[in-house]
Formats: sequence, C-alpha cells, structure tokens
Amino acid sequence: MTSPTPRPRSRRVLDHSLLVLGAGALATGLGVLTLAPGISAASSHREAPLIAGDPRADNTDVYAFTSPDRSDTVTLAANWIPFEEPNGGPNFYQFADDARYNIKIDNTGDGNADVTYTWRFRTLTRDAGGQFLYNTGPVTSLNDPDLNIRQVYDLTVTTSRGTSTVLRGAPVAPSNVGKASMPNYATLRAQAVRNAPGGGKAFAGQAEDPFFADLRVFDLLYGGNLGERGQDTLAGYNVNSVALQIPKKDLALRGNATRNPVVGIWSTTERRGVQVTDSRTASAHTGWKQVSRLGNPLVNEVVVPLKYKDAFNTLNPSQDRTVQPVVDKVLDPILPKLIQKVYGVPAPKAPRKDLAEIYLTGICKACGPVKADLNAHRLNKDASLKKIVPAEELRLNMAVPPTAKPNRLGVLAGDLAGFPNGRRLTDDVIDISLQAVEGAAQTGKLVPALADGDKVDANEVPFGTRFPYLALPHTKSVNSGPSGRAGKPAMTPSNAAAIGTAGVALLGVGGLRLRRRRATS
Amino acid sequence: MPAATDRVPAPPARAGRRRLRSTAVTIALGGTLFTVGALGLAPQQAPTPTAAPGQDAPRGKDATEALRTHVRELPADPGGWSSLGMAYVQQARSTADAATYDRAQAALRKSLALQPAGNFAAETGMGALESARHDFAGALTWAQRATTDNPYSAPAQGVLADALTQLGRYEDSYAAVQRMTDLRPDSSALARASYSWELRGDTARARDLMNKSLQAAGTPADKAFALTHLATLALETGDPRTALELAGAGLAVLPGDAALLEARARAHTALGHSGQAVTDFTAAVAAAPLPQYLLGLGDLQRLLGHREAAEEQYDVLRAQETLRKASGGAPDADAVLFEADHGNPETAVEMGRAALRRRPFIAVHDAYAWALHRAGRDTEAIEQADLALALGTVSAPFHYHRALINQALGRTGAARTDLRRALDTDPHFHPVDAPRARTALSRIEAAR
Repeated sequence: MTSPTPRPRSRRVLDHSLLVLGAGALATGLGVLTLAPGISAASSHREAPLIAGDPRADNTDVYAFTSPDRSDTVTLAANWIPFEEPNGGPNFYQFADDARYNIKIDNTGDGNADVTYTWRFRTLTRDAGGQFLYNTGPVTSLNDPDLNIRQVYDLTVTTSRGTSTVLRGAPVAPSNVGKASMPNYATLRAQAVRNAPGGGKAFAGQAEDPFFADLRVFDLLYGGNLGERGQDTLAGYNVNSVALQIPKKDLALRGNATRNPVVGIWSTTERRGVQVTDSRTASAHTGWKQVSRLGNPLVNEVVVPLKYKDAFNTLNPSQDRTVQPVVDKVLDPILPKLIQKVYGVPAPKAPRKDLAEIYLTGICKACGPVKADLNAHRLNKDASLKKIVPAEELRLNMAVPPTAKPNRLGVLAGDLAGFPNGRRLTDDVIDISLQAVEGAAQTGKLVPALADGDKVDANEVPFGTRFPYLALPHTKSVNSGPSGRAGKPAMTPSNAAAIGTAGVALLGVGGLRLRRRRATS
Repeated sequence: MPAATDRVPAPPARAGRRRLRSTAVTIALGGTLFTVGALGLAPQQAPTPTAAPGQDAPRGKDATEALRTHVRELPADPGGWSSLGMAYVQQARSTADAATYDRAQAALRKSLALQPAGNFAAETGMGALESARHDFAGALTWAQRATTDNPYSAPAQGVLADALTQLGRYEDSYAAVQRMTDLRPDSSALARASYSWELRGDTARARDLMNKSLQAAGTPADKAFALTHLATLALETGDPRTALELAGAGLAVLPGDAALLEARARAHTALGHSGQAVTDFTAAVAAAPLPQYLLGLGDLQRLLGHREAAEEQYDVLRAQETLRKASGGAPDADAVLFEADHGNPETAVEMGRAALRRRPFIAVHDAYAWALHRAGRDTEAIEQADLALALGTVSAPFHYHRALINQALGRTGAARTDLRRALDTDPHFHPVDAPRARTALSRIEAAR
C-alpha cells in the first residue's frame, strides 16, 4: 500500500477521478465513501462496549477431593481467567482487586452456605512510574525487589459464628513470565504455599489450566462426526487458581465428619454494586453482587439452557428449584435426544431422576433410581431432612478414602473417590458427563458408542503429588509455530469469552436443528 | 454455507462498490468524489488507515476472526452468528466503517433466521446495531424484546439504557443502568453508571465510577474506553494536563484508537501544543472520519490561520451531509452545529428540528438551540438551551451557547452567569469559542 502522494491543492479538482482509482487514496477515500447514511451521523453519543466479558470474574472450574497424601483433609480449588496465554512478552494476569472470590460449603443441604472462604486481593506496585514493567530483572523470591507488581491476599472464613481471618497479606504466586525473568519458578510457587492456622494450607496464583477436554466435542455432535476429536482445547493455557487444604472437621456439619461426611461445594465471584438511580433504597444497590457461580462442571453446557445461564450465575443454590425451566431441563435434557438423533443411541426415558440426583440432590438410595448411598446430604446423620432442598452443588462424601490409582471415569468406573463424588484434577468430566446423560449412572453400564468420549483422557502435563497439586504454569506461547501445537490457533484471551458463549449456545442449536430436520424431512 | 459476508478480502472496497451501485447515492456521486479528493489530500503527514498496523480495527479483530471460523464450521449455530454480529458492531463503532455494520446486520439476521424466537443475544446485537446507526426507536424495540426474553442479561439492559438515554427518557434509562449494574457491575455497566451521573452534572461521581470501570476492565478495548472518558472528563473540567496523561496511557494500551487520539488532540489544543494537536486530530480522522473529529480539526486549522486546511475538513463534512440528505437519514448534532456556523442557519434549523424528532437528547437540544440563535430566533432558542441543560449537565459549550442566546435577548445577567459557568468549567473548551466567551464576559463586566 502506497501513501497518497502530496500534491498542491490547486491540482485537486483535476485529480478527483484519478484519486478514486489511485491505490493509496482509494483506501483513505473509501473510508468516507462507505460512510453510509446514518453512519456519518454516528457520533456524539456515548455507548460503552458490551461484549468484552469479565475474565477476572469468570470462574471456570471447581475441584474438591480428599487430599491423597493427607486423608484427614479436603482440598478445594477454583480457577478464574480462562485461556491465559503464556508468552515471553509482558503478559501477566492478576486477580481483581475490586472483586470477592468465594468457595462456599453447604453441610446441611438447605442450599445455603454454612462455611464461606473468601479471598480478597490487593495489588502492590513498587515503582508506579514504570508500572507497565512486571519485573525489572530476574525474580528469585516473592519478595525480590525486581518483582515490580505483586499481589497479596486476605483469606477469611465466615460461619454462623461470624467472620474470622485465616491469612492476612499472603503472597500470590506471580505469572510465570519465562526462564530469563524467573529462572526457578518452582521455588516461587513453593513460597506461595502458606500454612493456615488449625492445620490448613493455602495457595493462590497462576497455574496450568487443569481442565482437559476437546471442547469441540459439543460442536461435532451436530455434525455426527467424532473423527476430529482428541485435541485438548485447553492445552498450553494457564489460569489463576486459589486452593485450600482444610481439615475435614472444619467443613462438616457440627464439626463431625464421621457422622456428617457430606458437603456441597460451589464457588462464586462477586463485584461491588453501585447506585445509579436516586432511589431511597440506595443500600440495596451498593452491596456485593454475585456475577459468577460454579459447582458441577459443564452444568451450563449439559443442563442449563442458554437463556437461563445469566439467571443461574446470580442465584444461590437454595433458589435453584424456583427456576422451573432449569429443573425441567435437568429432568428432560436436550443432549441425550441429540445424541440419539446423531448416533442412534437411544435416549433414556424422561424424567431423568438420575440426573437430578447427580446435579441437584446427591446420590442416595432414598433420593432416586441410582442404587447407592454416596453423597447426598440426607446421609448426614445430623441433617434435618425437612430443610434439604434440590440445589446444584458439587457434592463430596469426605468419608470415601482417596484412591491410590484414580480412574479417570470416577464413580462410573467404580472409583468412588472421583466425580460426581467431588471432583479430582484427573477426572475426565467430559466423558463422565456424556455417559451420565446417557444414563450410565442409572444402568451401571457405560454406553459403548460413546466410550471414547472426546478422546482427551488426561491433562497434557502431570499434576503434583503434594498441595496444591496443580501443575506449574506454562511459559511457552500456545501458538508458537510449527513445533508447537498441531491444532489451529483456537483461542486468545480476547475471544475466549465470545467462544465460551458460543459453546454454551450449542445445546439450544441442537434442539432447534432437530425441529428443523423434522419439519423438512 | 460459509460466511457470505467474508469472501472478499478488502471489505471496504467491496462495500464501496455496492454503495456506488445504489440509486440513492448516485445523486450524491459528485459530492462523494469530491470527498475522496479532499480526504485523499488532507492528511498528508498522517498514515492511511490501512498503512498503519492494527489501525483499521483496533478492537476485537481476533474475536471476529475466531467467530468467523466458528460460523464456517457450524453455520447452523444461532449463538455463533449473534456473537459474530455483536463483535462486528463493536468493531464498526470504533472505525465508523459501514461495511462492517452491513456484516453485523447480515450475521445478526442470520442468527434470527436460525432461531426466530427467544433469541435474546441476536436481539441485543440488533439493538446495539440500530443504536450505532442512530435509529434509537428501533434500538429500543429490539432492546425491549431482548430484556423480555432474558431479564437477567446485563448487555440487554445496557442496550435498553443506551436507547432510552438518547430518546430523552432519562429516568427510565437510569433504571435500566441500575438494573444492569445490579445484575453485573462489570466494566461496561460501570461505564454506563458513570455516564448517567455525568449527564446529571455529578462529575466527581462520574469520575469515581469511570475509575472503577477502568479497574474492572478485562480487555484493552475496555481499558481504552474508560481512559478515553476519564481523559474527556478531565479535559472538560479544565484539567488538560491530566487529560493528556490519561489519553497517552490509553494509547499505550490501544495504539491508533481514534477516540483516544481525539481526546489527546483536544488536550494538546488546550495546552497550546498546536502541532501535536493537528497530528493527533489528523490521525483520528484517518482512523475514523467521524464528524466531530473533522469539525475539531477544521476549527483548529481555522484558528491557526490555515484556511485551506480547515476548508478541506469542512468539505468532507459537507460531502457527508450531502450523502445523508440523499439517503433521507436524520442529521446529527454535529452536523447541525456545523451547518449553523459554516452554512445556512435556516437549513440548520430544519436539520435541528428533524434531528430532535429522531433523538430528543440534550446534545440535540443544544445544537437546535444554537441553530435557532444563528437564525435570529432567540425566543425559541432559549427554550431549547434550557432543555439542553435541564439535567444539570456540566458543559462549557452548552453554557456558552445559552449565554449568547441570553445576551441576544438582552438578559445580560443570565448571560454573564452562563459565560462564567462555561469558563469556570473549562477555560479552553473550544479554540474559537472560548476566547469569544472571554471577550463577551469582559465586555459585560466592563459595562457594569
């Protein structure tokens, strides 16, 4: 592209027609030429962006499992900021200072939190003048003066007795910006693991994204072709994690994990509300607003219709049963019908009480068709049956001992320490969820046609054997050329939110496409 | 079907050709050619939009790319099409590129064809598109559909709020923004909350909330947006140094962004850095030839005594107005002000009345007031000027306009109050008008 050649103005009129054809001027001129009627007027009014998303509030996964090396404790972990691209460049990711991150525990089964752990982060900048620099030299400790931008957090716990501080000013493991800047990242990460009073441990910081899946499995269902499976869409990306290892008695109802071993777990992100109107009930608007919620994996993809995803994010589990369309979709989900259409695998009969057990009540013989007493709140001896309600939570029976060699298919493969009894880092939740919607929990048999699932069976890097178990963050750019990943450049942080939305939309599409096929066939 | 809208690698050229074929524009062809010539010559020291890397679409290019791939692979996914459409709207808004608006519309229509009922995402996108095209009544209809289909969608509330604001239904718009922030106080909701207080003249609150929006911003585009308006708030309250810093910080985040370039140009103007101001304005015009940038550059050139350079910008504005007239579109506030000052005041009055019908917003009341004043109809003008300031907005230009109308009506006291207010708010509010305001004020004070 050549630039327009400067010409004396006197020649302008003469050049009009030439300029229309001149390459440089053409590009510039067409900018105006294409200013359509109405567009030329598109000025002087304000519209803020709408679709950018809120990755720092975007909670992607929650894990809860009995710690394999400390079986008197439970490890809880939750992730935010999906699709963090590791890079040699100035990429770094921070928790939001203006948000509250929570992991909540319901030990009575009423859908309300009985124990809430809350993380609040603060960013500390050593040299505000050059604040775009993350570090100014090799960082060898969390207190290294070369680490220009640091985060610390306060961790509190809230119970019926009130709120108390677990940790104050604890350091966050920084983004791993590469070998030159952080020659021994493992040391930094180890420094970020803190002992909490009462025998707990805590960690917050960057980690490799432990979720593994070919997210395209949801796409390809619609093409009826599972030939393209097997690429871990999440491979190579990092997330920001919080993790907590906590004695079981701290979570159990009445502090008794023997009598009351079942807990329900979910995480939320909250942002502070603001006052816009002059209404007299100002205080109603300025409290904390829940903007993200996550318990069981893939609930939005497998169960909740797109239309109710926004509502779901604002609800407390105790309110779930009041949103009838969501409950209806648990009892009569779209996904198995779609699979029937595409693969000819007969969809189990509705209403799906087995799925309601998995997602809403926990599994017990008295709860529904799955013949096992596993992780329903009803199994807590001190729980009041009258107060127990169906609510979407990740449920863990803490009395189930950890498995020496975990099976990726968890409970479906007879490994009771895995999803949907809590969730371990190694659990293959895509394959389990696909099997579960096909009724495998009810029949006790895996559906052979879907046995391969998404063909991504394990994380691309192994997990640790000690708290926080999460793998160290990647440092290599995801799309770093021919030696990198075989797949196409799937996502960047900037479009991850959009893709996520699209992915969630797919269930809706399926239903529609089915109707359309019937109408046209 | 692959995305039909994406076959041609040079979209602006293609859309240009299509537009040339359209009958309405043949009337304006002369004006169009003239426009091309004027703009092709005017920004000599500035890079062309396509020559500067990343300048043609500083926002959301990656997102549209990934979404285009998505709809190619899954052409029956209404969610993919609505996301793509919305991404195009966002992109088009920062580039003022009509071809991108057309692509947005095609994608959103495709989504609605695939899922006609309850498709709140596409309805939200259509609302945003109509808003960007200044069909606020249309935007309102789409937004109402989207908020009915999904009362928990914060973006749908945002589109609803934007439309209500521009339609002059301020109380309703505050309620929608309140609902939006109650649902999700993220960067885009906080930015709207800030604006709602800015409109009401609570600058401190507006600044505080825009800072919160900046803090919550998760993408460069969100950061740039917040910094643009923090810079503008600083500038319009007489602090061009802070404005310069903020705009510079924004351009470090999102280089080549037209709105930030304009903000920095105006800060430079206020600080007397004329050369840098011309450079930034010229780059802003090259990135997105929006009327307010053209007018800003033209007025600055005029002040500097570069009459020809000023006329070149004004020529482009006139050509845009010719195009608008040929298509029957409604004029906007900037066009009305321009016509009032550089064209025929009677025509400006007609335009102002038409603009107000489509968009009874305070900025349009102000422009209409000014047109009426220039046409010598000061009794009608003062009514409109009062309406422009009815919310309590802190705006030096609005107060300046009302001051001169008051003066024309012989209300010297009111004129003095308004002139003082304008100059106290922002002593550099306009390169030409601010010195005039000072002269008028000292004359009044001397006559006392």
